[in-house]
Amino acid sequence: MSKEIDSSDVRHIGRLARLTIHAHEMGEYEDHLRKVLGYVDELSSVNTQDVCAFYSMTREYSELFQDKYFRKDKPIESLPVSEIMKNAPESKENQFQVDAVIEGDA
Amino acid sequence: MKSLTDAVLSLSEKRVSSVELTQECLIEAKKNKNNAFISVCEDSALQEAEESDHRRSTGELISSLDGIPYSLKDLFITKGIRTTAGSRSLFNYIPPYQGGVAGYLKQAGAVLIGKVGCDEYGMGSTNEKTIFGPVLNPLNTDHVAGGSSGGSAASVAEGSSFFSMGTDTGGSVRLPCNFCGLTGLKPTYGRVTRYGQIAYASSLDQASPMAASVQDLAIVMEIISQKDDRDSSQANLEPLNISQELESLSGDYLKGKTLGVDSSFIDACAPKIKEEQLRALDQWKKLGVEVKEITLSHLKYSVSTYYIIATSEASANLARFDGIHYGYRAKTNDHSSLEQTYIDSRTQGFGDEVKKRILLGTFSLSSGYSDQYYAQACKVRRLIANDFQEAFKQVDFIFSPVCATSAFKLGEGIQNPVQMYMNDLYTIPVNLSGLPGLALPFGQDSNGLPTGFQIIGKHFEDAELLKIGHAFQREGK
Repeated sequence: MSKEIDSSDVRHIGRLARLTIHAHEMGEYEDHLRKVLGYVDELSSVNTQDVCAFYSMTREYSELFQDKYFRKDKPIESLPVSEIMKNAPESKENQFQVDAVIEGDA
Repeated sequence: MKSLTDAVLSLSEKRVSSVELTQECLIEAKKNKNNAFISVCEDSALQEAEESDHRRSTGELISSLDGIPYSLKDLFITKGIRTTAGSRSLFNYIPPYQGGVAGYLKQAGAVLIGKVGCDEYGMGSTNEKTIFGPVLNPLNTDHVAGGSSGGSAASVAEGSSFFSMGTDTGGSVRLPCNFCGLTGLKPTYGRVTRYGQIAYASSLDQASPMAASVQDLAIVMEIISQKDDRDSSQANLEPLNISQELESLSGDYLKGKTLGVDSSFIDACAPKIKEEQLRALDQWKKLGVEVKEITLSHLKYSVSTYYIIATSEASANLARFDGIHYGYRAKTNDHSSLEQTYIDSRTQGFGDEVKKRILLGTFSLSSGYSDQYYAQACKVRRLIANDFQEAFKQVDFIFSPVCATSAFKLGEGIQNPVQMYMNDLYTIPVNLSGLPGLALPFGQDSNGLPTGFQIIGKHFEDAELLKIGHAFQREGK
């Protein structure tokens, strides 16, 4: 049975995903999620009793090829901090800078 | 469209220089009449071409690809060259490191013409879902090039690259190849490194070459299938060594091979596509291949399975974009929490399709629903993979359409997104099962747009797939 989605669900999922869904786009997002969940509901009719889930090929292959897929960790030199910081939206003295956060108790 | 194999020969016979080939490609790339390119690397391309010509003059060639101009989907990390994933969230990102595929091609002496467009983070079938605007189909610009690797397909079809690297998570290389008349290989999952490939869905993503022919793909595969210790999901295998073998393939190579087909897939295609599928099957038979009916009964659940699994993985993979370390940061006036900076940066940085997929994935993994959605989808994924395993007990390869239609008109998919997702029905099962799939162009629709089909092989039998594909292209065109 598919879950009936409403705007409070969309807002809740948005909060989990760190996304704001604005009021003017809520209808579109809600409609999309409802349509897709309605469609994927067909999966609930498939008998999967005793079926082993398939999560990743790597897991499948490690069974097929034993431990050939794993190597020992090899420490290598990190990139210079100054190179990394070139992409920082804001930085100061080779550190990522963010706006001052004023913790309110309101 | 330009032949990579011919260019390798022309360079070796010194009938043309890499600088000349590169200049020709740059002229097309800079015109950008199909909007294939996000960034054109003119200066570095010419320098790389000059260096290649110098190596050739001193007999120090590095590989068959030395001096060959190509393009890279903008999901591949390139050191010092902007890499956007087609997204505002990475519009100004200049990677400080080199990705695996880009690195191997650079080491091989290939000449990078530029970074090409794609649907944002690889999420789309039309290459319209990106801040850089839609990529047009060079064969008919009222139509899409296909997605998500549309820029790659357009750059090869328009002649600004001899090959391109795309990524295929649910058909994103085979579909644009089918729409633009190219040949494309989605290798077995784990055959090509994913290091430095911006992740959409890690258990499905695979770097995939696109070119004019199977022979061209083979040359590229020899370079990009090198073992990369930085990708723990790559198979521990020697690089493919197949080009020579293709050249000497015997005339009756296809004789006695068996090809499975589930006729219900073909019946579901548009009339002209169906006609071309049947004509292609006749051609295979004429070449000595035995065609057998098979049943792949769970594949009808592939689209549902894919959209749960891919979006779940995407919701986790794209959690890293927070506006703090790199990429787009929103200017926010709300200083009540740092979290608001994350939320605003993500909300403004991602496009609608990406946000919709993140929401679906977040929902599928959320408390109270993950068993019903994500876990159930992973079980159905097993049933889909089992269908292929059973089929491969009876046949050597499987034949299937790539898409039920030819290239969509621009804007066609915007009205009905679920219908647009359905267009990936034939390509998705291959990714879910980790198998290799080879898209071959064959025939035309009534408007002259290309059609084609795909051949699916067994795990890690990429070389076998290329061999039968080459035998078909050599004899069966």
